[in-house]
Amino acid sequence: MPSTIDEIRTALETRLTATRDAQDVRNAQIEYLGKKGTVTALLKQISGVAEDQRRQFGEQVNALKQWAAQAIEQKLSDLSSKAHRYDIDFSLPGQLMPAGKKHILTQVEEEVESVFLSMGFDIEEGPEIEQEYYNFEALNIPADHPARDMQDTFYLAPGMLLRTHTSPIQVRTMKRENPPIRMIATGRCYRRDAIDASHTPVFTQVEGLVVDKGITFADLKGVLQEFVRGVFGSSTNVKLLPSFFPFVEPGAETAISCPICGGKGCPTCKNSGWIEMGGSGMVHQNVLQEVGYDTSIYQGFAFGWGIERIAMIKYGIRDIRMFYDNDLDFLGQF
Amino acid sequence: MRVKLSALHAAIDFDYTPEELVTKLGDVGIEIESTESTAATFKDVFVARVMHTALHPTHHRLQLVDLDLGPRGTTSVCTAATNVREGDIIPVVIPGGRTADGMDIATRMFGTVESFGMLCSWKELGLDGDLLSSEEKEGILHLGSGAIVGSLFEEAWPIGDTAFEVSVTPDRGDALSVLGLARWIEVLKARDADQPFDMGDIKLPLPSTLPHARNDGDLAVTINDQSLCSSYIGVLVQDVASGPSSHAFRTQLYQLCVRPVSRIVDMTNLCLKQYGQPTHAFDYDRLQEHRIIVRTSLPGETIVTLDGVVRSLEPGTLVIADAAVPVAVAGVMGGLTSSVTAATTRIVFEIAHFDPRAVAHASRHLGIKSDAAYLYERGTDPGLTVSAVPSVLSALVREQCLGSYVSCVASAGIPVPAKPPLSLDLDRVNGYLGSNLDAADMQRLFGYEGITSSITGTTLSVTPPSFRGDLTSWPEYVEEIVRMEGYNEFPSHTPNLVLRRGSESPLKALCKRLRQILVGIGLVESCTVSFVRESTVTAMGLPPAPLLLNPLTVDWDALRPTMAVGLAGAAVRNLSRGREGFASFEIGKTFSVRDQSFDEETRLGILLTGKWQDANWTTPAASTSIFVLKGIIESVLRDLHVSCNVVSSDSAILETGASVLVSSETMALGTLGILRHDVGALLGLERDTFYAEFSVDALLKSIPAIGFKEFSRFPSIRRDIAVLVDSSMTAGQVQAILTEHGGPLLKKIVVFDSFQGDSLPTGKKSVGFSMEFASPDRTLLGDEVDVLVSSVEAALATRVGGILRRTRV
Ligand SMILES: [Zn+2]
Repeated sequence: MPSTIDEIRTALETRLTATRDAQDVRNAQIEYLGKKGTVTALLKQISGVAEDQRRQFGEQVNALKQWAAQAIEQKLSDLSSKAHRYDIDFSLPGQLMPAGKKHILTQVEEEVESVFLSMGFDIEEGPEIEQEYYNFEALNIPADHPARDMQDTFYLAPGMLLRTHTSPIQVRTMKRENPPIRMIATGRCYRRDAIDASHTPVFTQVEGLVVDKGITFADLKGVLQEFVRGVFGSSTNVKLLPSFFPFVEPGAETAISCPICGGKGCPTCKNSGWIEMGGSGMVHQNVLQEVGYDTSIYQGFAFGWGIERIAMIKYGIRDIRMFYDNDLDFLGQF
Repeated sequence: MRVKLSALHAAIDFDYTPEELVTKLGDVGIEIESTESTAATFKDVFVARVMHTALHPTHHRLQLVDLDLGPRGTTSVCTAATNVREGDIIPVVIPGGRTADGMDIATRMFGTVESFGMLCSWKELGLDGDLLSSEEKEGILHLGSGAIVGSLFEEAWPIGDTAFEVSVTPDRGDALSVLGLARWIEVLKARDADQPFDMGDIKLPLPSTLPHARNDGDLAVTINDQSLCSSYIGVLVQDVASGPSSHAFRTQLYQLCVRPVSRIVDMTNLCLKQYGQPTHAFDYDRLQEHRIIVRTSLPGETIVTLDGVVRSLEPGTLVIADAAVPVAVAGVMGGLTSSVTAATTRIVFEIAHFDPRAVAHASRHLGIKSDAAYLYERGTDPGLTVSAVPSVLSALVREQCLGSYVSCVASAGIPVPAKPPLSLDLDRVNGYLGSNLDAADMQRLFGYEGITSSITGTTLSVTPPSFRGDLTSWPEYVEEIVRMEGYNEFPSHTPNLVLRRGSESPLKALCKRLRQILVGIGLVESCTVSFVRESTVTAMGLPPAPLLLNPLTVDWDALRPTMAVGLAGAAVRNLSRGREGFASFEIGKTFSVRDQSFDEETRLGILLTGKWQDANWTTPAASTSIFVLKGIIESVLRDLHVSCNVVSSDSAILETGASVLVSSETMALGTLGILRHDVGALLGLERDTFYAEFSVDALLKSIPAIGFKEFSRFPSIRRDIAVLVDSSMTAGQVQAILTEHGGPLLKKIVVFDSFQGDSLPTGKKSVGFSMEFASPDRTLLGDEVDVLVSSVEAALATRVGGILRRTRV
């Protein structure tokens, strides 16, 4: 029995020394001195001990109880009053936490979407396997037009293809809804391009469309300006250059002031201070007529940019293939 | 298209530097992709005439060549070249000079003979080999008559120049020639000087009347459908003598970036490159009845094209026919039976304007891409060029001594009628651009481009020049206003739109949420290409995937029916770089096909293999396992408030007995399990791989509406039990008994332990459950919980013969 008393005392002493946690001390109080506590149990045993040892045992147990109560009180008061000095090696790393990461293309896509959502644009979707009609004819790209050569196309069956741009979603949206239209569409597109540092047969586009009464070319520029400032920073400027896309007229290539050098000239912008980002323009009359809009009332603008391109410019990524390699050393950087 | 600055200067005078030209053309929509400047890097190279050649007295592989250097006297050199004859005009670099590749030339002894210089091939002169004929690249360069003997080589050959690579959009067919670029330079000049466009500034000959036009029976030209061919002119030449073009012509071709071939081909190429007007040469004597009929093809007609291929013509294809058969596919390619041969003595050159769509259709349908078709389908000039080129061609025939020029034979339709004017409403234009231009502004801007206009009130009546086939509707004129005013001279303005919230589809929102949850759990998102190899899909035992009719490579000839292939590829890539594991997901479309009908579905794939978290001093490395994967799925479903029910189920790509179907209350959601090892091996994964694939659409349909549920605010009581049951029983079956008999106060059950073997009897296993009891309205007493636990224990004993191993408070 005496060894038990000593053992209990040692165990409690060790526990109190080790802990810095008041709750833990209170738990110890219950475990040792509570109704079902270890010390309480010993107190209950006193009456059952042989007569000759009862007195000594009783004194020892009571001494233990007194010591335990005092030690616990002392510890609690230490913890509440005295600033304990710790000595922790903070050069040691913390416990590792799970390191998940959204793909950089997702991050950029969501960023772009949030900019447009905040301007009241709806996000529309459409199928990746698309009818030739929505991908080409309805967008003023007839079968024998040289503009078809601008987009080398994967076919699945006669008349069925993998969409070469997100623009068919414009057509589907306009056929479904009447103006005003204010939408963007993001998604995967496919072109039968040979693979190199700036081409992959799979890529991601963001497409925008606004159609209403009185929408002007000036509005196009204004919205693109808001967009690039939202994505590249508030000092970024937009410049339009003449270009041709069959579904817009006038059509423009959109350039932004180089976010890397701030327009002073660097290798990324080929020292021009400007970087071409994608097409835009006023929606072609043929497109509006095809979806049944009255072109004497409604007009609008559209634009289509590559998400990969935005990410490449924003982060200085030189090779588009990296997006689809999924190397953790790449994905982990963003 | 490649063209040199000197060719542009020959067509129009301008002061722009090459850099300015690139910027200014870019501003009006003509992109110069690259510029390359060349200069004479050789020194003291002269044009010489060979007076006499003789064999070297001792070195029998050498020739002694005496050269006339005109005013500079004569000299002699030794050469190993074999293509030097008396009378040849050739370049020689004299002592003190240097070749383009940097060799310094000095007087040199060959045996007993002194050589005063070196004869040059194109390489020593640094010429562009792409622009030289094969003969010109053999041995010493021959300059031909016309080069002035004794002159510096750089005076005889256009060396110092700048080559532009011009890239034009499909609507800028009018810029695909030297003439076209010269017109745009004139536009730039007009705009800079605020003067109207003046065709008179163009220096290229542009006669507007046909020389010696007649139609007297030598050749009869008939156009059957004027809408498909507005004009056709045959230029008849006889006594044809073929041979190489003159020195002057060849240097001109060098500036035009055209490689010389023969007089006839060179002439047609010049018309194409300089004027943007395709031409074609027929053997006059091989045309039945000496007739040319422009018509559409009849059913069953075929043609052997110049490339020797027999082609069956789709009825209605625009062709050039003689009295009997088609002899050319109009604007696309000539026929073999009417082509010019070595025996040809009489030629008909074709100069015509074909409908762009007709040419484009035939070119695409026949799969023939030719320079002519490229130009025709982008729109050639039906006016000036068609009438000017016959004159240019007949002048060339005389100049190059190709033969004796006979006549121009024109069809009806010359001259081409001008397009009717188009009305442009001032307010409409300003309302389109957000601008404030007046009619005079617009007239001025149009004037720079040679678009004529007249003002009536607020309306402009505009007429395009014949070379601007792209101008057919009012927005196209609006574009010209923008082009001339400057794309960036217009205000930027944000539209006055009704304030409203942007929305996205529930599916899209769910994809975002899933990504957020999975990234929070510690998975990395991959984006893999949507293509797979069909044979891989078949070997995996999956249903047929949609096939591409024109895949880029055989490795990517089908659309993915599963996310597993792409994720496995990403895993292999990372593992091959020494990583010890990979834990990733991808959300995207998967594809299926049934009876030629294609379908696509948004799916979530999760692939785990090896370690997914590194070790450090606080924690050992975390390995992936089937229960890590199941835990991830359970976490995702819990986050979405979707219940998770699993049933064993076979799946094509998962191991038997290690694969389950996961369902919500209402529908199947997906599968999870251990990837079949042979499938793993096929995809390059050697180690255990855990894979789950879920339908995001099904997940979306399974998400319930969430409402508040009352919960206990009183302390709960925990009881642990461990129970010994037959190994065949699942933990789930045992837990069901706990749930059933624990009563409504049993709030939560956690499996804390499950094992067999060790000290346990064979055929048995131990499962430990931690049960948490709580009441919504009071503090539970230990005794009443003990009663509940006893009843659970009793049920375990009677229902499954469970032997209680221990209980713990
Ligand atoms: Zn820059």
